[in-house]
Amino acid sequence: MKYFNLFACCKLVKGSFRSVIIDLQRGIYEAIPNDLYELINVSRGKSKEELENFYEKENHSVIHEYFNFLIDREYGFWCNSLDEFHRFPDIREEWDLPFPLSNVIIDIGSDSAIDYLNLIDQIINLRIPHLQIRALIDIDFSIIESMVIACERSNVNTVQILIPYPKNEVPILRLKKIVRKNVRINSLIFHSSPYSKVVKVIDKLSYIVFTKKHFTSLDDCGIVSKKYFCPNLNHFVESKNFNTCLNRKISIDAYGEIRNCPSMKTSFGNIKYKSLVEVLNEEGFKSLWKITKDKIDVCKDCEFRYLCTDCRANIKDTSNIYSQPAKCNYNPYICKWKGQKGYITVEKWRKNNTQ
Amino acid sequence: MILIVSIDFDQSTYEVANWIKYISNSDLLIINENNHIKELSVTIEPNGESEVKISTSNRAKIDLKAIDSIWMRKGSIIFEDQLNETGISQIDLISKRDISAIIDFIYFLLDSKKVIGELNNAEINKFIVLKEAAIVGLSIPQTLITNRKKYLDKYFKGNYVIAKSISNIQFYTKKFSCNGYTKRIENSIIPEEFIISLTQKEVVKKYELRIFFLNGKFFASAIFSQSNDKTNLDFRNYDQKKPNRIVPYILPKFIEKKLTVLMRKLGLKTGSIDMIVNSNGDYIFLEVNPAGQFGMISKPCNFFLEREIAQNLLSIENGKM
Repeated sequence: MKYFNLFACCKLVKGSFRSVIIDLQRGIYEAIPNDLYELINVSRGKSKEELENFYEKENHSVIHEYFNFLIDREYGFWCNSLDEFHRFPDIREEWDLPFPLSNVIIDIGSDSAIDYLNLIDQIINLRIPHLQIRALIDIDFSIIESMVIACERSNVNTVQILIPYPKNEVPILRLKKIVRKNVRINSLIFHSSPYSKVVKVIDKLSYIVFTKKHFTSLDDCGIVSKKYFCPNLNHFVESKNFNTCLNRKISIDAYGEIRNCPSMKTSFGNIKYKSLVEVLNEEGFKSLWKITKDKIDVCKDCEFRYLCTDCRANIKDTSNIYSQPAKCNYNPYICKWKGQKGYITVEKWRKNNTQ
Repeated sequence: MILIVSIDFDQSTYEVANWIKYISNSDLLIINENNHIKELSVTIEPNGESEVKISTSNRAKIDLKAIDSIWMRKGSIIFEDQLNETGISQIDLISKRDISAIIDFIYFLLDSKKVIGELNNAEINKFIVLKEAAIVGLSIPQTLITNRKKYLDKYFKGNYVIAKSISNIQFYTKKFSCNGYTKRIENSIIPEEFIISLTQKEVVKKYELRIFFLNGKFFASAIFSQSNDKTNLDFRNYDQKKPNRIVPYILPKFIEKKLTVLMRKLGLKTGSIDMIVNSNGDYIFLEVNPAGQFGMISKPCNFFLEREIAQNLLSIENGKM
């Protein structure tokens, strides 16, 4: 007796129109029909023979095809007994991290009253592993350099710097030296550059990037695209339990306002008068962290919900915090992206289908 | 205070340390090459009491009394003197012996604390482990230790045979590197005489089991290494493009019972156990590594073993057992 077993690292997610199989170990995903999703669910704990009795004879060849596909792609394997089948449990869908916050974004403007080195001290004390420093205007690079140097011997693991292409010449040699010396810096990005170029500093570890893209406002935030899909275990279990965009994130804008994310309206105070720890302990700061994709309108019907990013700042209906990200151009009810033939918006589709 | 003895740049050490800091305010000391012992004072009082004070490269003085629990992750306590050789072999040899005696004494004193891992860090004898495993009723592969082809032929009678390292080998020279991975013996190229080797009858596996054991708890995973030619003899020959499937596994109770008895017999509170499930569904014990890697099963199976170890060290500390 043979029992089909899906590898625990291959997760099925059912959408309104089709499903997706996510290979969390190999970092890939592919769409499958909902029929196959149902078949795998029905097959759990049933032998091949039992399944064949369960389904009409005319379906048997499709079933064989489906199983061949799953074995071929190494999504699953055959167990020789029910006992063996039950020895393979699911992966626990728990998410946790040994830091109170995982990411911090600091925007630097022209407010000289903000003590950036003190802010770095607070970040080090909170042991936040990932830091992004952004400048919207041409600023003195030595401020950023001193912030990075202050991170030495700390838990800050990676630093990403995003600054505008300077009016004066780019001191590329000096910058390369700074990036090489401070191993935490994994990328230094010049936006609004007249050209695109990637300068490798340490192979696979650090880069200086010149991009023509303008970064003058926060409009770039909240884009939903296949490009940003994350087919990995960490993202999968985090999205099952938390809002991947807001969970354990914090940001300080150019005026010192402390927010969960730079694009959110609510400020929890100003860094000039309030510490990060105080904000972290404030009631309400974590209030949106538990808005999972399963609770969000439209997303909860989408097969990509545990692969996708989210955004709670730009949403379709500002009066409903559970509303769909405004910049999502996918319609899960017809499985089409904007631009694809036959695409209609979710709103239009709903209208058509309620009439 | 929690003490971790480890080697530099060890990812698991870093992660367990993070969990300790996240869960508690407990003081943490990590001793490795980078942060070794610089100053030392050990007393043996007439009343039998001892006091050990040390200071390390980047810390003030520590009284060993303040240590509540210890994780012997990898390596050993290192003394600054060990790193400074005189170049005179006789003196260096004596110095090495003396330091080793002092470190042994420190371990002797620490033995009354709660320890995860092995204090004296002695490598475990694979032959004794195999024999004990067989005695507790676990299946083991047919095993021969020999340096002559004639014994190989006689014992294995033409079956596929593998050779594996006797002790844990891993070294690099400018000319070659040696990883100590398990290899199949090509009978046709084996000379009549060879270096003394550990050989075993090859077991055709359905999958391998890598089991992390911690204070009576089992965290088992199945590694599907058989279907890949690169990894079917030793999964450490990782295939980066198509990594082997590593998924959680539930051990049968009768295997857990036997392994528990074995670990108790070997005096191990923790370790990584390697087993094979063959095509008939039999469980075959291969070996146990007291300081085995667990990160490679912790992450893909979402076991949070790093947090588990941290909690273990802390609960011991909080409980003051």
